[in-house]
Parts: sequence; C-alpha cells; structure tokens
Amino acid sequence: MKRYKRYPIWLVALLILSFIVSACARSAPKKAESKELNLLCTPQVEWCEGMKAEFEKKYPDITVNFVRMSSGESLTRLRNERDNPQFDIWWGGPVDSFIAAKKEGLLEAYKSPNAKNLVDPKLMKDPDDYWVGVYVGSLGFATNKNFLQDHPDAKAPESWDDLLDPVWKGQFMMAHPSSSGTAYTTLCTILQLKGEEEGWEYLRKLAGQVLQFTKSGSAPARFIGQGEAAVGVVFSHDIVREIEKGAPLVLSFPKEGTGYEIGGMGIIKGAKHPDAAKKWFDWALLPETQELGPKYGAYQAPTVKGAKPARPELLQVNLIDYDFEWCGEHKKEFVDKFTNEIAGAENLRK
Amino acid sequence: MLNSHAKRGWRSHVWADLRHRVDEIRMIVQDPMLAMGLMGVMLFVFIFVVYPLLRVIWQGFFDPQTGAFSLKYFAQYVDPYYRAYNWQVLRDTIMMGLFTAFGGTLLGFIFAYTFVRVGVPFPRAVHALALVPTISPPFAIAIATILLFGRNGLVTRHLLHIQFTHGVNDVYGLDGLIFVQIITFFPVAYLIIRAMLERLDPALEEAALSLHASKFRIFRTITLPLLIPGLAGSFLLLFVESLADLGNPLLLGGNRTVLSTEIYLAINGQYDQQKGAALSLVLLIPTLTVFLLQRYYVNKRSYIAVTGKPTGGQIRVTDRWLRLIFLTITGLILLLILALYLSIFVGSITRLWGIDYHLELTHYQVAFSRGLNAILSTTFLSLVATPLAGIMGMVIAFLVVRKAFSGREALDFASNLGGAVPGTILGIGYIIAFIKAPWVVVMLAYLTLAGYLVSQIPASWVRRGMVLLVASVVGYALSLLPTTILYPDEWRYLLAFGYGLLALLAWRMLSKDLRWRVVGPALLMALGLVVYNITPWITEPLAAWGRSLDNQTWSRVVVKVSNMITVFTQPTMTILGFTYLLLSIFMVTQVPKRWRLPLAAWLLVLSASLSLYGKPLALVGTPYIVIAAYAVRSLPASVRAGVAALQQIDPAIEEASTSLGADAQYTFRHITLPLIAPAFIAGLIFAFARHMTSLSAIIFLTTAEWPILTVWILSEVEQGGMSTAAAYSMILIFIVLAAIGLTYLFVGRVFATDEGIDLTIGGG
Repeated sequence: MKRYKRYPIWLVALLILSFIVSACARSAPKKAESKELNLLCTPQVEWCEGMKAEFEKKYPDITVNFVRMSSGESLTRLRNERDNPQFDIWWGGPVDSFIAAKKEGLLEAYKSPNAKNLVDPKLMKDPDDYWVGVYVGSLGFATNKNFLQDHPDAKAPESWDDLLDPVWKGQFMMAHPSSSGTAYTTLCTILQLKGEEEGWEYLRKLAGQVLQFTKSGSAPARFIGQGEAAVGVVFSHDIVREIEKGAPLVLSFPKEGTGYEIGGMGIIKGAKHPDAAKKWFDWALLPETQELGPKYGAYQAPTVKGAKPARPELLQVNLIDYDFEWCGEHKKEFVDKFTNEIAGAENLRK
Repeated sequence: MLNSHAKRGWRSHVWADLRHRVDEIRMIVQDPMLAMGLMGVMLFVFIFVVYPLLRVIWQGFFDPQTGAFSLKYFAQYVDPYYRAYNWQVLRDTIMMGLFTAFGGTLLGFIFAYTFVRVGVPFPRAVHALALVPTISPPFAIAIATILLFGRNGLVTRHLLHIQFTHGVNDVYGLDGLIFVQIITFFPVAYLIIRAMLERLDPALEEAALSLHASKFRIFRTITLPLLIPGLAGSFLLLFVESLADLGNPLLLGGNRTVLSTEIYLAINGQYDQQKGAALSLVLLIPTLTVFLLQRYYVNKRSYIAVTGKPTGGQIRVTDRWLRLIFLTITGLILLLILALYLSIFVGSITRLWGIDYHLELTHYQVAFSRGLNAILSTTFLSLVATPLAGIMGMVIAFLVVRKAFSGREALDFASNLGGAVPGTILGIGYIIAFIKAPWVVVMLAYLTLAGYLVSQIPASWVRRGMVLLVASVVGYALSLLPTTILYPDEWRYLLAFGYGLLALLAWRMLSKDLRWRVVGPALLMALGLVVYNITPWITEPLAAWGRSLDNQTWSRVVVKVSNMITVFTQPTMTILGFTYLLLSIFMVTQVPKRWRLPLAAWLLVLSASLSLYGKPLALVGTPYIVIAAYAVRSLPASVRAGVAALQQIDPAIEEASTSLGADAQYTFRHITLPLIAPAFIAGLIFAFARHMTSLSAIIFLTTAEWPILTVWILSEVEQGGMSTAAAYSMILIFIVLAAIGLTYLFVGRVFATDEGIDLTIGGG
C-alpha cells in the first residue's frame, strides 16, 4: 500500500527532472540545418532517383524525398499548396511552367554563386533570378524500326508534313498538352513555325493520324519502342534513352526546324528547408553534376560551361527561335483550344 | 376556435416530439463514455466526410481566384462551343457504367448460380480466386490486359499475329475499358447474389416443382423475382463503382475520357479547381441517386423469404446441358482471371515485354530500391488507419443498432457516404478543405467538446458559458505565446508543467479512491507533451545512423522508421488538443461536484491552447490526412460488419448485464465486444486491403515524404514502364495476401470461426 502511494511522486519528480534536463539541453535557440529536402521532380523517375542518390552521397546528412510529377501536375500542386508548401525545390520540366509559377508568386528568387557557369545567361536564367535552366533538349521523331521493315513504303519522317502521310494513320502518338510539357512544346513549335492559322489547321490534320494522346510526354517513345504505335514526337534525348535500352527505334528531325526546351529549376516560396534547397540549387549548376545525366539514362545537353554534352548531335540540328515568353503567356488559351477542338473531336479521326 | 385548437394541438405535438428527442440525447449523454464515443465519431464524420463534400459543391459555383459566383462550367453543357465535347464525355461515362453494371451482374449471377445450384470442384479455392480482383490494385487487370491483349500483347501480336493498322479495333477505348471493369468488379455482384441465392427458401420452388411447373417456368416466375433485389442491388453498386473508377479509365480509355478522368485532368492537368469541382458535382448526381435508391428502395424491398438463416438443403440443377453451360462459362472466366494474374507475374520478371522475353528480376530490384519508401509508407499508413476505421465502425454500428436517438439515421448515412462517393471527389474536397486552417470546423469541434466539458459543471448555464468563454480566451492567448516570446518547445514544456501541477494538486486534495482517475490522465497528458519534445533526441540520431549505413535498403528502412515514430509522438497540436479534451471530459466526470469547476477551467485553458495553436487542421501534406482518407473509405464496410454482427446478438444478453448493475461501457467491453470480435477482425482485414489498394482519393494527397504505392504504379504505367508497374502490383498483392493469411490464421486460432468478409462497398 505504501509503495503504491509513493509511485506517482516519483513520476512527478521524473517529469520535473526531465524539464530541467531538456531546458538545459536547449541552451541555444535551434535553427539547425535541415536534414531533409522535399524535391518536386519532373524528368523521368530514373534520373530523379539517380540525382537523389548523388546528392545524398555529397551531403550525407540530408535525405532527399521526391515525387515525380508531370509539369502540369507540378504547377497545380504548387498552386494548391501555396499557403502550406510541401516541396522545397522544383527541378526539371520546361521553363514555361517556371515562368508561369514565377508570375503567380510560387517561386523564391535565389542568386546562386554558380549561375555564372551558365553558357547563355540571357536565355537560361530568369532576369530576376527566380529560375535557371538545368538542361536543354530538342524535339525529334521516333519511328519503330520493325514497322519500317514491314512497310517498305514508309520511311522515317524528315519534316512535319511527313507525319501526315496516310501510312501513319492510327499509328501516330504524342502526349496531351494539358498534362505534358513535351506536348505543349510540340504544339507551340508548330504554331511558331507555321503561323497560328495554318498551325491549327495542321494540328487538326495531325489529330486525324493520332492513335492516342498520352499523359506523360516521354511515354510515346516507350510505347513506340514496344510496337504499340509506329511514330511519334518526343524529346530526342528520350528517344536516345530508349534506343540505349534496346528498343528498335529510329531518331530523325524535321528539316524545316524543330523546337527545344530548357529544363528549369527553382526554389519554392515558403519552403520548409530553404538551406537544403539552396545546396541542391548550387549543386545542380556544377559541371560535374550536369555530366551525371547519361549514367541515369538522361541525354539532355548541359547548360553550364565545362560540362560535356553526351550527345552533342541532338542540338546540332535546325532549331527554331523558340519564344518561351509567348508560349508561356498563351498556354491556357492554346491548351483549352486544343482540348476542345482537337483532342476531343472524334470526327477528326475518321 | 376549432382552428386555433388544432394549431395548439399541432404545436404541442411538435414540442412533445422535440422534448422526446432531447430526452433521448440526454439519456445517451448521461453516460460519459457513450457521449464521448458519439461525439468522437460524429465529429470525425463531419470533419472528414460532410465538410469536404460541402466544400466541393461550394467550389463548383465559385471562381477560386476572384471568389465571384459563376456557373461557367455548368454553362458549358449548353454552350455550343463546348457542348459537343462535354456531352460526349457524359454519354461515354453513363454507357461505361451501364455496360459494366449489366455485364458484371450477369457474370456475378452466373458465378453465384454455378456455386450454389450447380456445384463446382474445389469450391474454396475457386471462391478465393474469384475474389482476387477485389484485393488487387485498381488497375492490375488493366495492366494485365495491355500485356496480353494490347497492340503489342502476347496474345494479340505473338499468338494471333494481328497487325494493328488504322481502323482495327484495339484494347484501348470504351470496349476494352468495359471488359476490364467487368472482370474487376464482378466479384462484388457474385458475393451479393450468392448470399441471396443461399438464403432462398427452397420450399417455394419445391412446391412449384411438385405442381409440375417446368424448370424454366419456376426460374422465371419464382427464383428470378425473389432474386430481383439482389440483382438490382448489385447492378446499382456496380454502376457506381464503374463511374467512380479512376485507374482503369486512365490506362485504357485511349482517346475516350470519362468524368472521373476528366476531373483528374482538370485538377492535375489544367490546374482548374473550379472545373474539377463542377464536374465532381455532375458525377455526384448519378452516384448519389443510385446510393439513395440502393439505400431506401432496394434494401427495403428484400423479401422475407430471403432473410434469416439458410433453410434446409439447396436445390441442385440436374440438367446435364445446363450444368455444362454454367460450368464452362465459370471455368473460362476463372481461366481468364488466372491468365491475367499470371501475366502480371510473368510481366514483372520479363526484361522488355514485347521485345525481349528473357526472364530476370531487375524490375523487382528497381521496385525495392526506388519504390521502397512508397512500399513502407503505404503499408504503414494503411496499418495505422485500420484500427481507426475498425473501432469507429464498431462504435457507429453499436450506436445505430442499439441506441435510439435522433440523428442516428444521419450518422449512419454520412458514415456510408464517405465510401460511396467517388474517391476523386473526396480527394479534391480534402485539398480544398484542409489546405488552410478550416476555422469553421475547428471551432465547431472545439465548441462541441468544450461545451460538453463545461456542461458537467454544477452551475447555471450562464456561469458555464462564462467559464467556457474565459478559459477559451486565456487558452487562445497562451497558444499565441510560441509566435511571440517562447519557442514552441518551451511552450509545450509550459503546458506539460501545467498538467504536472494539476496532477500534484489532485494528489494532495482528492480522496484516495479518486486520485488515480485524475492523476493518471494528467500525468499521461504531461508525458505526451514531453515525449513530443524529446522525440528528436531519438529520431535524429536514428536517422543519422540510418543515413550512414552502407546498405542502401537498410539505410532507407531506418530513416523511414524514424519518420514513422514521429507520426505517433509528434501529431499536429490540434489532434493532440482534441484528444486531450476528450480525456479532460473523462477526468471531470470522475471527480466530486465541488471540484469540477476549477478542474474543468484549468483543463480547458490547457487544451484550448493546444487545439487552437497555429494553423489547426491544415492537414494537407501531413500523413494524417492520408490516414483519415483511408479510414473514411473503409468506414462503411466496418460499420456494416459491426451492424451485421450486432444484429445477430440478442439484446437480452446486454440488458441482463445492465440490469445486474453494469454501466454501458462495462457491458460493451465485457459482453458485446467479445461477441462481435470475429466480425471486427474480419472487418479489419478488409479495411486494410481497401487502404492498400485505394487510389482515387489518395492521388491528390500524396507527398514526397509519404509516397503512395498505387500512385507510383500509375506513374510508372504512364511512362510506359509496364514491367516495373507489374512488379509493384505483385508486391502490393503479396502484402495484402500476407495480411489476410496472417489474420485468418490468428482468427482461426483464437476464435475458431470462419466469418465471411463483407467485400461489397467502397471502390478503389
């Protein structure tokens, strides 16, 4: 009985002791370094995973958590989480999404000391330092080799108009611009190349060839490699990756000019781990970091001096003078038009 | 004169009715345990089912940027520019639902009939195989179908040598989608119709037979009419499941979109919350209609002949041809299911499907390195949500079956609603409702709990109100301390000290037999806050050690475990505050009347400070919102399991216990709970399986820290990584099967029963 009675006194004493101990332990206000980094990653998951591992190797005290999302999804996510951001940094995906994010106040400006490494700061960096470019890639055509063998009258397309050849009817694949940055780059390239009116007319004809609009921009390369479709528009580095993996693909470029993307990077406004995000930002602009791509199946060209591109030929093609501002401004309008007049219209496919 | 009399009569009737209702509530509220249970489940259901759904409906009519009222997206159904496309989507959605419901019900009927009337060899194994689609990820069948019958499928390309040129019908599109949905959802129809068939009283049919009615006539005029409620019920259920399905349409829709995918794309592609919400409302109309039909029409129309225990033997079909037909169809479908799952397995160990059929395990290596976090997170969150759903389900079932009070029907309805509405809608609702602090809900919940707390003080209502007001204001002021002069850690120590002091005082002042009832909870609460503060002392070294490990797999596991610990020890302050409020209610009801005022006031200050700290219930990004979404999705099944079990127990047993002097909680714990335990555990396994495989509600809530496996599978498939997706699917199926196996082993050992599991509600 007596023992029973004393027990809580001991507990209380323990409690008070633990206050004192912990109060002493907390001598300095804690502004400790972040142990985690929440990464919003838009390129293929393999590369995200690789970058995570490389960063953790360099900074063993930081665990990188990442989610791969297409650029459209990413922007929605950031918009939704504006008051309570869950991500610290957004890496990869075409810069028009970053331009939009900057306009909406979703990004935090950061002047990285490594930004001086950039090859073309005018093109590859936001004038107010809200984003920088981390890779460059050009659009190309992927064609299934086996299909070409079976169809002697078909040859890998060499111009945008070749895609309208009846042989590709129901065999053409591209992503839907509402979810994919790749597809939006394609759309905007065509509109710049052919002018708005003629461009939309061309897109209508192209839609008649389409087997399916995929959600992810790189998916057509994978599907065409597997023989689900015969031809498609994809970023050339994604085609090269599939070829390296053994997919029977042929890469070709349109001779009248092709569009290209700059992959962006920016720190999220209100990030919970800003110090870790800055470390990633600086690290991603080092030449040795940008040379890591091919190790993880990413053949995009680097944006900083001193980094050697794995496949320089991908950019030594006829590139158009792509207007990122114009494409970014009209994105909602163009995507809306595309969804209503082209993608959803069954009659175009007859 | 007459008129006024009638009016008074009507009025007094209303008053009597109202008084009666208040009395009912008072009866329940008198028992603090019962009252706490009631308040707990009601608040949970309100916060996580009703409120988010209301927010979705609201959002459909208002522009999120400007806040202006607009019917923009409803007007698109009449606007000539958008009309064609919008109606096309709606038409396709309804077509998909109707065909899936019809095909699934037909197949389910054939299966059930074969089982009950024709007889199959190895019934247990066949039954289990038929149920596999319900426990696999929502798009496993879609993946398998693409692998087998896709444009480069094993069967279509390599066995049949079909060249897919323009105009050749492929698996993508409405037809393929309906095929996959039928296979995915028919087990539900099978279970419902089988239960009905088994409970059919054979006497009626035997009577007809002895009157020399032909077999077909008996079937047409007796068996079929008696089965109508079951057939209608499963038709409606399948219709809703098909409409709510997100995974299959995303993978197989081809160029056809249905409402669920359209909603998903509106939110995740066009970043348009209003459009998503407006389309959700459009989708909500048919699903709610069906839900109401199902609930108030079909269920009420179950004939007496089909209720109760199985009666006597079953009539067997003897006609050889009929037997052959039924057995062949069943056999073929089972073979198809087997082939589909086999192809997932083979697909997961094939180097490059369609091109290089060498077998290797690289996809599993990828899955266990890249997806390990997702595997661990999903399993952990599903496990945590399981007892939550199970316990709440039991409490709701107990209240609904055993207690009479107004709002009982509403509680039952709302708890079912969370599983019945398409998950996409719930997910959007969570994003809209919990991205900022939902102060309306927080205040409502806080006032309910705090109001009940002060109602236990023996004083006038005015004085009680004063206590509530003053304590809440002081508490709120305390909650502002961490933003001004204290660090959050110090503030928590301060509150812990408050609880400690209370324990000390209670120890000095209360009589011996009462002490522990106050000192215990008070120390517990103080300890909870201290543990919160000292958690980093344990988790940070653990995570650091984990990061230093060379083995990548173990390194990830250890880091994840340190994350998991914090889920328990560092809940959000509001969740902690509400839990403490519930504990406070318990403490206050335990002490003599004269101590209640100071105790209640003191406790209220402390828990108000916790509940109102920071941004209460801004849960997006935390694991708690995923746990809540899981629990809400599986709650209807838990409630049903509980209701079914409770209805089989004669209330006389409980009444005997009560009349012998036991209070409600004693009776519940010692009489009711042991009797319904097997059903409870069966409900738990089911809930776990639902959590693991749910996609549509979760897809908007996953974060970098807590990735969800089903979302990863979808992301893999979208990028064309079929084999890796197949590997993830196999892992997921394996985890669920392992859980089921373990639980059955346990249940079989402990309870020696063979309870069936109700698998009939709440789609992926």
